Amino acid sequence: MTLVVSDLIVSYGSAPVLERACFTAPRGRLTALIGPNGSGKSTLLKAVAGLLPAAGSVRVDETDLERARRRAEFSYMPQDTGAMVSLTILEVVLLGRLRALGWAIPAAEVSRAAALLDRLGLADLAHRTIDRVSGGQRQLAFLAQALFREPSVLLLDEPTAALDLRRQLTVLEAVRADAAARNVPAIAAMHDLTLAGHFADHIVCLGGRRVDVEGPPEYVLTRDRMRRIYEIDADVEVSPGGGVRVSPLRAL
Amino acid sequence: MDRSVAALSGKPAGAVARYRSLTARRIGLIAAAVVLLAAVFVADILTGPAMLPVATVLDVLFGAEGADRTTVAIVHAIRLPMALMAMLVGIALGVSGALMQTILGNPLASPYTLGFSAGAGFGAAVAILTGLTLPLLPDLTTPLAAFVGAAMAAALVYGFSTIRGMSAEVMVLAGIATLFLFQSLLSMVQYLADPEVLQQIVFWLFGSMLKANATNVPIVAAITAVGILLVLPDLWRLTALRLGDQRAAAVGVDVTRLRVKVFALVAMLTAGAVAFVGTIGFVGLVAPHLARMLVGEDQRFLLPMSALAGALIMAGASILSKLISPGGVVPIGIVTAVIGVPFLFFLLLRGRRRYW
Repeated sequence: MTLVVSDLIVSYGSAPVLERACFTAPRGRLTALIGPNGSGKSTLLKAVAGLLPAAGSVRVDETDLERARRRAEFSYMPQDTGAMVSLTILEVVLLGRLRALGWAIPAAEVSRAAALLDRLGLADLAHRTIDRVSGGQRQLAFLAQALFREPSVLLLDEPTAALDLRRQLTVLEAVRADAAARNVPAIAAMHDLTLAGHFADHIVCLGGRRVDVEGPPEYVLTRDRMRRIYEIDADVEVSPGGGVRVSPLRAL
Repeated sequence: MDRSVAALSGKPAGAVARYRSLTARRIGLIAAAVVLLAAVFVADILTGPAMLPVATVLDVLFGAEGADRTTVAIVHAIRLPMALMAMLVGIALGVSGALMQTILGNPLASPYTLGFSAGAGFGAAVAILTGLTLPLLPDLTTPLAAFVGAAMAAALVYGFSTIRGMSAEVMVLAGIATLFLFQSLLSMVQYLADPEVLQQIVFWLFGSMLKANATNVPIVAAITAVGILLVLPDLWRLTALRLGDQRAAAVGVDVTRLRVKVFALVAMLTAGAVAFVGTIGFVGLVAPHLARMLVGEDQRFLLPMSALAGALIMAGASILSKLISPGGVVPIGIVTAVIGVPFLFFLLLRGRRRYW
């Protein structure tokens, strides 16, 4: 009962970005997608979301899903690219359910969107326009939009990048809770390996244009892999209470 | 979701009520604009070089018996078509401008940005220069030529843009190149034309409602209605597009398809608006900004408000065009350009809030 990606090949022009990437993401769990800059994390997420043409297959519960269907059913949250427009945060969230919106918006939908904003600590900003909030608040608003879609697969590109420590935790907890509550796979591209080591149940590590390894955090996050993939010396400890801490020491 | 239900009694419920009142306010503003437009439309019919008494015109307009035939003819054959045409062109340009600003993601975009009206002007000028007349439809020759010119401009922009993936930036560049191309071709035609032909061309280029009649008003009405009806299913997708291509795609919008469709509709609406009455500047640029300031970016409200704002500006300009020189009618295209620019400055400088 998982998302299974097989032999995904993506190229920009003639330059291959991903060569035969294969990995799985379990239902109800948070999968962290890690790898250095330029290793293809964003490309992989976009290809899975159906936003880029790619060879290979993306299956959920044994069903091969076409690009159009993935675009309709999955949620993809891009890295913050700004959104300088005077739509209110509530309106931005409502846009997540584009297909369900008609001339009038059912009150139930509005209250569901408002409840979601409340859960992410944005209730007071619901009627503020998106161009007048901070980068972190904007990021949260778009996370709310992605969750509001109730997608069958949740794909997030660096969801914690612009956030303070407290909100990083809020976001990852909300994503985990959503994945667990609706029993869907959630995949988040992440740079903070300690955060990934604590919040993710499963980690997919990209390197050299392919998936280097996937598995539980303590299996993936090793000193050797930090040297090989990230080209750094790092202390890696498995916490007694669960989770892995990665402390970078120096670049090689 | 379990926690959200419990929380509904608090802040989210307030947010829902506030959203509802915001929606009610926007609908109220649109209703007010409709009422205002009705009033200005009647005022437009009441004014004119013939200086007819207000009571007489109202009698004729509302079907009272006993008015003399000249008055009936002036009201029904001249003033009514002119006022209707001004309103229709305002609606078409207001909607086109809003759509153009949305698909190009650019506050300076207008129905004319991509060279449609330059193409129309060139088409009309060629028809006037060559003295071409269609056998069955002599009166429609120049408008048809203008329509064809606009379609050529649209095809050129589309052709160039598809090569590079139909992004907003490529469309603007291709559009500006097309605009300059057709302006140059138009200058060429004007240079080649004899003085009296040149005068006809220049008169065509100044948008004027004096060209409105019982034949072309229904045609413009039909084109405008079809264009607007075809865009209605895409209002939410257009609102999502305001978040940027990537974010719109992320919520399921086929951005390229939407852009091509709306581009074609704007070409049609703009060509329909300018083919019969000539070029009318700034309405398509100003009306959407005014509308955005009043009702925000949600296209369910922005598009109707842009249409109404366009119609109001045109009806107001139409009244002014008849008052400026007593006994005559200044081409409305000149009036809209003269009042449009300061109005735009006023809109952009007013208040602390940004509307784009």
